[in-house]
Amino acid sequence: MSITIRIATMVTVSSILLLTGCAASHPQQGAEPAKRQLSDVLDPNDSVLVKEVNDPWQGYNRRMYDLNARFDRYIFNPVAEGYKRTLPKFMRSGIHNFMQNIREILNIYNAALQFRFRTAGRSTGRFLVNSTVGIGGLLDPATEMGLYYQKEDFGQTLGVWGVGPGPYFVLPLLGPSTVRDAFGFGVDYAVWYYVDLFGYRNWSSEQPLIWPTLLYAIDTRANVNFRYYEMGSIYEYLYVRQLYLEFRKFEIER
Amino acid sequence: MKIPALFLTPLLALAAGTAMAATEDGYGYPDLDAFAATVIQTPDELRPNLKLKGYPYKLYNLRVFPERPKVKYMWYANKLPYLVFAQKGPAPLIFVIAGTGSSYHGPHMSTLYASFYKAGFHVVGLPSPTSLPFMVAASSTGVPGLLDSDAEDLYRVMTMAWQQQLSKKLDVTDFYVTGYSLGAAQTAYVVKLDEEKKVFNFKKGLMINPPVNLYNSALLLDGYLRNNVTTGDEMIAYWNRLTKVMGEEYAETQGVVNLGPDFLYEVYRKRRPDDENLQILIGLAFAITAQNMVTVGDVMTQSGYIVPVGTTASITADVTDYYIVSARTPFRLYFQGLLMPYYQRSNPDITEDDLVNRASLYNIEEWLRHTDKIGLSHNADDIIMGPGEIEWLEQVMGDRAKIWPRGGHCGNMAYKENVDHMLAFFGASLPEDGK
Repeated sequence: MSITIRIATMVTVSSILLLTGCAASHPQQGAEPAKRQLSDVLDPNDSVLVKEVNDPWQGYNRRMYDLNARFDRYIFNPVAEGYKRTLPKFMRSGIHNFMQNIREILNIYNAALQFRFRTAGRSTGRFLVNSTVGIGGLLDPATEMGLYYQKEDFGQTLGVWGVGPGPYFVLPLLGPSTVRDAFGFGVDYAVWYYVDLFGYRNWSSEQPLIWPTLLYAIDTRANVNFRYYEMGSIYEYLYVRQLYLEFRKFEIER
Repeated sequence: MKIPALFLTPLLALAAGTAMAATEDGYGYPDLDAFAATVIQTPDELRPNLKLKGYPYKLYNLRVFPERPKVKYMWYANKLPYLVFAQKGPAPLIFVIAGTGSSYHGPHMSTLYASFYKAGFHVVGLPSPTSLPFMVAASSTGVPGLLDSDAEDLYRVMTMAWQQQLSKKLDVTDFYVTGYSLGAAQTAYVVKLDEEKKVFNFKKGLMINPPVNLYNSALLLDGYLRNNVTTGDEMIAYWNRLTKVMGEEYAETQGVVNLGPDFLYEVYRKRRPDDENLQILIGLAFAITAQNMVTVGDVMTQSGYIVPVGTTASITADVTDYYIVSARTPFRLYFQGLLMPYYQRSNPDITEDDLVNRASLYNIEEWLRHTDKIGLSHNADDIIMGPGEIEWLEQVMGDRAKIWPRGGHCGNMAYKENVDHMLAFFGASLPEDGK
């Protein structure tokens, strides 16, 4: 079993164990009720946005959100910050372009499956231009030619096909997702792994994907301007959940 | 569909171009109405070059009350974060205090950091006493809002940061302080407090768009949301319109966004919605702050206002009901239902008027009149000011007041002329070459 699979298994098993850790917030027995309550502020006929979300595993999700936040604060983000501070800009953007370019294969097949052939064509054009004129993807002349990058994934494809998001589901390390999008991520990963466009698996037979995957992760983190628990609200989990779901809806509808 | 940046840039330039049609008062900030200016802020091309080379800052953390038990489910807020930009040699140091609800980051803080750092200051950025980390880690009461008490909390943090962490590292010639919005009102109180405590002997302090009466300003901000949106259904309709726009803008940035009130602002900055939409947006950003304040303040003081006393909180708890109640609790009720009872517990004779006064600059009017340390930069059309408040400031501050003809609330902070004026007040300026 490769290290990647072993880590994946470990993470999956521990997340399932954590699923059992659900809880609600319990007022102490005999405590006085709060002075201002739901019935004081809410007309029963009125609707509330935050209640409309399908989040049956909130206990697990909140725990995972918190673990991700800790991982991000103490390991992931410092590594990404160090990466930004030590590597010169042109090297970082080279790496970023390269990573985007190898991801293009996912954009192409997903856009095609969504019958968005213009997007698929544009992504194909990007891939061809950047892989050649862009020196194997290190540069991004395609964007300057008006072929801009558009991320597509299998979760979106499923959404376009009419599959609903299902319950909200916070993934280990990867963060906010839904059952549909998590499944989509698995499919995308499998496609990327087995198509193996650049023959990574032959580079080294022992640990084929560890270093490229790590670099991919660091590059991704370095390009996302988000920090856990810095929104300034104690309800960050609910805000992030809402924004994630809205954002996916938009990506599918656009 | 995603609009390529290629198309968007000329479009934006066009929009800004029409807005910048020549104005008669000789002030070059775009002729935007106050709400639009507040949201849109300053177009990039009207800002001075505030780009910084590399990463000249470092994040510090301070445990302010070591004896206080740590809040487990808010583990990230047990220490107060603050940001330091250090110069290499000897230089003046300026403390920068964030506006209502804001931590040490955000667009206005970035403007101040870059301006003062480039002008040769050590810069130390502090979260607002009304922000989540400050309320948990550094507030002595747990219910911020009274300027005298907030100033004491701030001064404690400044002193500890300086004595424990910064004095060994920075070579400081003089101390200064500034802040925007609520941070501006606190600036005046901090400088006044320093005259008694004398830790820093602040030479000068600049107030940028302060409220005169925090309570009045908060009522105005409450109203921008709650006069326009009264039911959950209306809120959902607004939210749907907003998220449509937001989703498009998010895709535009390829996920490179800062979540939070500042993110909401960023999104509408590019669009041109009418005043009602802008009011709701401004009110919403403030309501998110008020929602957080009422919840955290309630838990920190165990007041049983929306969360029953003694509720066992944990990281996994479903707090949706508290979310809903607190979202429907305006700042007015934070003041009347939480802050006032808190102070009345130790002194039953205290009245609402006493507390409103302690949350205003009226309380230090005499001192403001005579001190030559405090300067003011404000806008004639600031949306957080009630009738007569700007005039009061002009009358009290005299020639130490600079009132710009427009700019809304802090909308023109990054405008060239404003940055120059701000630095000139401290006897500094941006480097000539703009680098």
